[in-house]
Amino acid sequence: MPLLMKSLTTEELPPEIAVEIPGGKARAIYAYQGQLLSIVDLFGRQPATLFAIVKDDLREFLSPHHTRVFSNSFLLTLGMRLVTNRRRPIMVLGEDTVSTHDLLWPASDARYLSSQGYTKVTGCAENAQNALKELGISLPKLPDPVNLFLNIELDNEGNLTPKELKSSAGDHVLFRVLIDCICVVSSAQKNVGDWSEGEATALKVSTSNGVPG
Amino acid sequence: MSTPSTTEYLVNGGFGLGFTATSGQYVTIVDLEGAQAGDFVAINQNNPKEGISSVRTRRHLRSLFFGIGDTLLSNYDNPMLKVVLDTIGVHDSTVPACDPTRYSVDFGVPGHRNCLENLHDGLLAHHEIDILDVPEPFNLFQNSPVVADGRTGVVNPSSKAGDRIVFEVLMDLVCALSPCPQDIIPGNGLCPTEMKAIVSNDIPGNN
Repeated sequence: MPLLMKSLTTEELPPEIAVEIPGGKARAIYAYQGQLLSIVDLFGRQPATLFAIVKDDLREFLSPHHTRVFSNSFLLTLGMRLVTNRRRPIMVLGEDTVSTHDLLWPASDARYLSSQGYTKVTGCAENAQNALKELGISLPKLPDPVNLFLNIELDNEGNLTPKELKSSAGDHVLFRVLIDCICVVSSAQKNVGDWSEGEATALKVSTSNGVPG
Repeated sequence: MSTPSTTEYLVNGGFGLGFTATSGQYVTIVDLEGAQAGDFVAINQNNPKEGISSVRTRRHLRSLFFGIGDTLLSNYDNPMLKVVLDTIGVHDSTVPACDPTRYSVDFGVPGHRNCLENLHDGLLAHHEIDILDVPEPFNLFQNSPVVADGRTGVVNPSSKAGDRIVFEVLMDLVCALSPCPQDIIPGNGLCPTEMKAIVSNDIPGNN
């Protein structure tokens, strides 16, 4: 299948990959222009913290802040372009069975978790750095994340209220990738910030050259 | 003669300036002519990797917005500044600093002055810092309301000439202020104007 209606079908297609992310851990994979990036909540009500860094320039990365202003929207909605800190679209949200995601909340880290009484766990920030290290990558700066499935209610006065997640087992998002990048997905601690209870559960991240299923 | 307790800095519209402030002092930012947004950042004087953090402040306050009595946190969740006086009550901490690509990509205007480089240059005058480590700014007087369907309103500040916000300094800081050069879309009344930064040992007006 040609990618983005521009590659010849005879061209070699980029490698596809599928990785299960254990609860409370992170994994990093390469995703290539034209591929579809899928992130599945395998057991439900599990926040998936997403980072994406441009493969050829680690100083350019997916930015929730630039994504918001690019579309003048505090919320991530279907069809929106996710852009980098240099305002280039890096992926587009093309399919979404949940519709509730967050572009405003920070990634957790061990220091913050410890202040909340969780002393023996690492946060998404450390988990992401470790996952990148396994690919031999050290970032000059870990960007702020896009928090998939996380349900932070925003009212018209700007109040932010963490709510129970709406995702059920098997719910997923699918992004069309526009820039070759390293994607890091972290299964966040569930019971910090009022949004859910119980142990962090597994996610699945995968890339494909055609629409999955 | 005693050391002067107040230092005033005039910052031209569309340009930037850096200055230092020590714990216990007060930083005042004044919109001199009104309807001008001022991008503002601060870093730890002793560690440029520690900077003011809009996302962590937002998590702490459970709000997009901040006002009198609120503490602004660093990326290590340490208190950096506390709002002690605010004549307007409308500020933004969600919009990233305009940068070269804001103008070249979004509006087709390369080479436009921009807040990111203004803030970086301002900090650099006092401390070596990678431009990647310039924090996401607090945009004083900028008005970014939540409108229908979670969208962001793009409007001018409601500030009038002389409106000000005063922070108590909770950590030794290098600060930078950039009266935003955005003159293409609403945000500064289409005409960037000058602002004033004041560093003082007492709350201005309370002497």
